[in-house]
Amino acid sequence: MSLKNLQQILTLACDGASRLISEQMDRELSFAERLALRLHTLGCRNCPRFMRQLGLLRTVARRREQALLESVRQEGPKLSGEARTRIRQTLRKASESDSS
Amino acid sequence: MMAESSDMPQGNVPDLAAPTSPDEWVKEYGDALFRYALAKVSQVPLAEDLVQETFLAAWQGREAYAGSASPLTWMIGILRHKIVDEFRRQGRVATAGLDPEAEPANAFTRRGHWQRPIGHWPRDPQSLLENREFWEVLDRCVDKLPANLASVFQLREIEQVDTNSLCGQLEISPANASVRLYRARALLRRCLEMTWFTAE
Repeated sequence: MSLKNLQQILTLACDGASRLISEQMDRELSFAERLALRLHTLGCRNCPRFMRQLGLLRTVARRREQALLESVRQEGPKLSGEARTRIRQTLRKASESDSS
Repeated sequence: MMAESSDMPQGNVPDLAAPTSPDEWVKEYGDALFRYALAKVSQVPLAEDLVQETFLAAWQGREAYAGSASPLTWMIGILRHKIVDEFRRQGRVATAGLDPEAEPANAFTRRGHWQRPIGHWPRDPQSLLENREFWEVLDRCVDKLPANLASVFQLREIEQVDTNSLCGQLEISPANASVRLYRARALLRRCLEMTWFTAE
């Protein structure tokens, strides 16, 4: 999405603004897009909140992933005995047919 | 016991290039991989299959493992690929359990204003960062995403993959990726709002 003229910059509404807010998380906005978004958020109560909340979502998702990676070594459900056996058998067959 | 840290001297790191018993792998890493898979796919049989596929791929690729990361980190990398592949296999699914009005296509008036105002979330994001209950709420919301949105969210927001690599891995255009990320974020935001911030 790119804004090409002054009219677009001045008439950016929440739908366009929220899209830019999301885009901004993945790429640099153009000067026109940045300007349009800034102008819009000056006069809007909802979109600044939307921006903050998407930022929080990203931060928490990453932190949660970090915690997950740390926890999988120590705690949580275990493979059932049946699954464990099945997996070992499959791996054993693969390693036996390995001609290297 | 198990040398996972890359600070450990090389002699303590299991040498994967040598003919090691696959049984040992399952014993050492099976549960950890299972827990990660289950956290992402929520179904035990599927998680078991993904763990098996991961071990097979790791075994077949063991020569390529340079020992640069800990064995578990390396295998989780493989598992993550398998999980995203599984999301792609599942294809598009309806957004069950998520607020349909949070879809960007439905969330705005004809003039482009929000149909429903964005709620104010209490000003203490720091405490949420370490809040296990909040994590569980987030997990449940992410679990409700349709597979095509879950895949971009997992890659971009969680694994922090850049958009070019993401498009390559999912074989989608940048425009498509952008729309999917927008939808995923909007839906998750609203799900969090409903289930945490304004839960009755």
